[in-house]
Amino acid sequence: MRIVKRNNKILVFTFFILLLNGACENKTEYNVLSGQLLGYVSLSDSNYIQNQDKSGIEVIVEGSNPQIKAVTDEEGNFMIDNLKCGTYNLIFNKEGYCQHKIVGYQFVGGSKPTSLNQVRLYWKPNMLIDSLKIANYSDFFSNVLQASAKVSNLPEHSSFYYRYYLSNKSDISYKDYASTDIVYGSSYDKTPSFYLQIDTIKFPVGSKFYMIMYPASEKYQYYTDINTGNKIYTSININKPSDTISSIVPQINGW
Amino acid sequence: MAGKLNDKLKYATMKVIKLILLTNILIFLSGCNKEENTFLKGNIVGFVRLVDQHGNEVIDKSGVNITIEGLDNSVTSEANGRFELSGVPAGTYNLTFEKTGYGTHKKFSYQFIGGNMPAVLPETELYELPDIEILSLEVTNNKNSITVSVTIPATIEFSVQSFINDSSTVSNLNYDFASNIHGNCCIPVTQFNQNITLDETAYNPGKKVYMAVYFINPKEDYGYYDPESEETVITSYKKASSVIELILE
Repeated sequence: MRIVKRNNKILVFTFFILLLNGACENKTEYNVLSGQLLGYVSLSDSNYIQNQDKSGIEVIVEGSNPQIKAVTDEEGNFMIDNLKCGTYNLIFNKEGYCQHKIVGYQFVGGSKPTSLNQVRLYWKPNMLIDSLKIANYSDFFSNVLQASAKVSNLPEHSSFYYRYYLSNKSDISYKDYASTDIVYGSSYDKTPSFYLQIDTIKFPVGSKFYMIMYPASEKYQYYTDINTGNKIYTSININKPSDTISSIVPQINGW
Repeated sequence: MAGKLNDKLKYATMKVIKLILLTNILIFLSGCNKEENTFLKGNIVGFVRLVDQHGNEVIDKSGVNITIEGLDNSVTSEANGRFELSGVPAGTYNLTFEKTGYGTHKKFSYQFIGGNMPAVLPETELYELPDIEILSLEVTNNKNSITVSVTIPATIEFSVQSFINDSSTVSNLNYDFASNIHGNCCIPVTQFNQNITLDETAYNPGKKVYMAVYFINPKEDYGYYDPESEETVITSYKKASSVIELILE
């Protein structure tokens, strides 16, 4: 009987191994391709001349495990070897430039290298929006509001932008907003004034809305926030917003 | 006696253990091999935008059903238009976007790789089917041309299309001639002309032809390309009249 008992122990051990087999199924080894990813990143300065030294731009592959980081050489080129087939977010960083992000980049891999489309980082705009106000609406278009700002710390001999955001909510930011547009700026204009386009579907007449503005160095680059679907414009300085101000959507009278 | 019995027992037990170990190894091998050949899986995130029949964006974008053809995977959009398809194996897919009262949109041959981060679809627009009432519809037939006069209530923006064919099955998909009129704002009555130059056609005077009139969402100008039928499909067609019979003069 003692032997049977001992064999029972072996049986228990065997079932333990069986359990381990179950764990094996969870530890999936995908039989996927890998390959080389090549990229080129350029830098655009405040006078819109390309910076000749494009070294030291950090490229982070979000979604790789362990996380892959690459750095560009002087020409702006980077190379990532043995990247596994998969979907990644690519983040581009350099001190003094706006961070850019490519969301949901699908990489196949294979024996030939894959070239990423050229990425350009724009200078970090450090203009200060000291005050922002919404004036009475324009005389000509009664459905268009007029806004003006006082700005300082402007770069010399340069043109640039301001990007404003509108929302129904007071916790408005470049991430959470209902509409956005760009305003042209120049080194010689310390009191830019501009029209606000109000979409009365999103902002009904009589409702309160909020506004915030950021300095911007470029007007097109964005990535999509996968939680809200909002376009996150990247060529702005997120640390230098104006104060949040509010106003009421006026009655539209027509012309 | 007792020793012999023990030996027999020991032998039988060993046999059982061997058998278990063998099946164990088999399960181990088959289990792991099967997993090695599975496709990479991942999530697809997308956003829908709804355009009402007047061309305005709809704030509540919930209730759009998104399906992947050939998979059981189907989701419904949230109020901000977001949807997420989870655990989709790598592959090439056709996607269908449906909501009652809106034209059904399709996206063909979407290539999906899978992985740790979700892939992001470009924004998809769905157009509400126009619900415009026809007040009057009159067709006059002059030499070499047909004139259609349609009266509709005042509307912000509208788009009307008429189709002609020599078959009574004439529709937006089955026609020889089409003409479109796009109008803006404030005009309570609209009239548009459909001209056929008989010389350019196989139609002769005295020929019996058929006409069908449709409304389209005024903001929909492209639709989607269907590689199977090799045609561009406008999704928001809404039939405005029954088929009209004409004898060409």
